[in-house]
Amino acid sequence: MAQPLIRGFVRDLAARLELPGPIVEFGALQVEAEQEGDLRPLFAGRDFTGCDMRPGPGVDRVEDLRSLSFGDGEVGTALCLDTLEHCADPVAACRELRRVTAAGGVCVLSSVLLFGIHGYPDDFFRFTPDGFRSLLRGFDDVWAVGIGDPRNPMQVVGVGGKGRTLGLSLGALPSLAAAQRDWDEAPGRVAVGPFRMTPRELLGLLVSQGPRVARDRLTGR
Amino acid sequence: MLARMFVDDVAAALGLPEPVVRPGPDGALPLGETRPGAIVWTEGLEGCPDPVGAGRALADALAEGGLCLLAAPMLADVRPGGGDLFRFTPSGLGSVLSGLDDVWTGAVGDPAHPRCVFAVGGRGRSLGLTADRLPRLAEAQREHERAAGRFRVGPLRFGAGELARAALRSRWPSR
Repeated sequence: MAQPLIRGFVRDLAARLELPGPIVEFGALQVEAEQEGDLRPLFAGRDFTGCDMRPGPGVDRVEDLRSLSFGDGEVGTALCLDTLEHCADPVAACRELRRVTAAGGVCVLSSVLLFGIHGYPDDFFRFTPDGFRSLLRGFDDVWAVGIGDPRNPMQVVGVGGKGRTLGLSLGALPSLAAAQRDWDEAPGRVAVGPFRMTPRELLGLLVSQGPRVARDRLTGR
Repeated sequence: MLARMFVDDVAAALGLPEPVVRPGPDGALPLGETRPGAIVWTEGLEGCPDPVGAGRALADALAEGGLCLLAAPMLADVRPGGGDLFRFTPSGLGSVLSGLDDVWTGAVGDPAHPRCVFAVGGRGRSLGLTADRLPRLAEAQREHERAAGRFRVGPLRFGAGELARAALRSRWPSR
C-alpha cells in the first residue's frame, strides 16, 4: 500500500526505467480504506500480484517476506513499499527479495524514518539511506536517498537492479525531487529541527507552552 | 548517558552474571569457548548490518541463566560516513532478542517516537522487570515529560532561543 509521495515515486520510476514483469507488490494490503493505496492502476494491463502476510483488500497471495514461496528469479519487479519496517527480520526479507528477483529485474523499497511507531500489525525498524544500501547489497546497482532533513529524513527509498544498471538520481524522479525542494525551501514555514511549522502552529506553541517555559526558567527548574 | 543508566539500573535490579562481555560492532563476541553470563551491547547496534542475525548468535552464545542487554537509538540524527544503518522501536529491539526465553523492552522519550530504546533478554530465566525497578530510566522519562524550561515539539524538545533562531532563519512569504 503506497502513500501519495511513494505512489508518485513508483509512477516516476516506471516512466524512467523498464520495470519487467511480473510485478509483485509485497505489503499490498490496503489497511486504510480512505487511502488510494492500490498500485494496480499504475501498471494497467501488466501481470501484477499483490502479496501480504494477511489476507484482505489488495491481496492476491499471502506471503511471509522472510520465507517467500516464489521460486528463484520468478519476479521481474519486486515492490516493497512502506512495509519493511513491519517485518521482524528485514535482512532476511531483503535476502528473499534478492533471491526471487529475476536477472534484469528491479527491487524497490521505501520506508519512513522520522515517523512515529504505528501498527499494521507491529512496527519494528527504521532505515537510514545507508541502511537501505546495506539491505540491497548483492544487487548489482543500488541507489538510495532520504527525503526531508538529511540528518533525519522523513522518508527513505532504495532501488536495486539485478544484472543491470539503474542510472537513477533525485533529479530523474520528479515527485521525490519536488518533495525535497518543498522541504528545503519550506516557504512560509519555520524550520524547527527536522520539522516544518506554519507561523500559526508556532504561535500556538508559544501561547500554549510559553507561560510554563517562562515559569520553569524563572523558578530555575 | 541513557545507556549507562539502563545498564546500572539492570545491574542493580537483576545483577549481571559474570563474565560480562561487550560485543564488537558486528555483534562478534570477544570470548572463545567461554559462555558469557551477561552480554552488554549498548553502542553501535544501529551500525550492525544484520542485527537480528547478530542477536540470534548472541542468544546462542549466552550461558544458561544469563542476560543480554541492548540499547539503541530510535530518534537520533543520522551519522554521516556510511555506518549508521538502523533505528529500532521497542518491538524491533525485542525481535533482536527473540531467541531468548524472557524479554523486556522499554524506552525513554515520546512513547510514539522514543529517543532511546532498551531491551533485556534472559536465557532460561524469567526477568520480572518493570519500569519501577529501573529508577534512573524512570527519572529520565519523567524529565522528558516535564520538559522543564523547554518547548515540546512532537517528540523533540527545544529551548526558547532555538525556536527564536529557527524563526529568524526561515523564509517568510513576501506580500
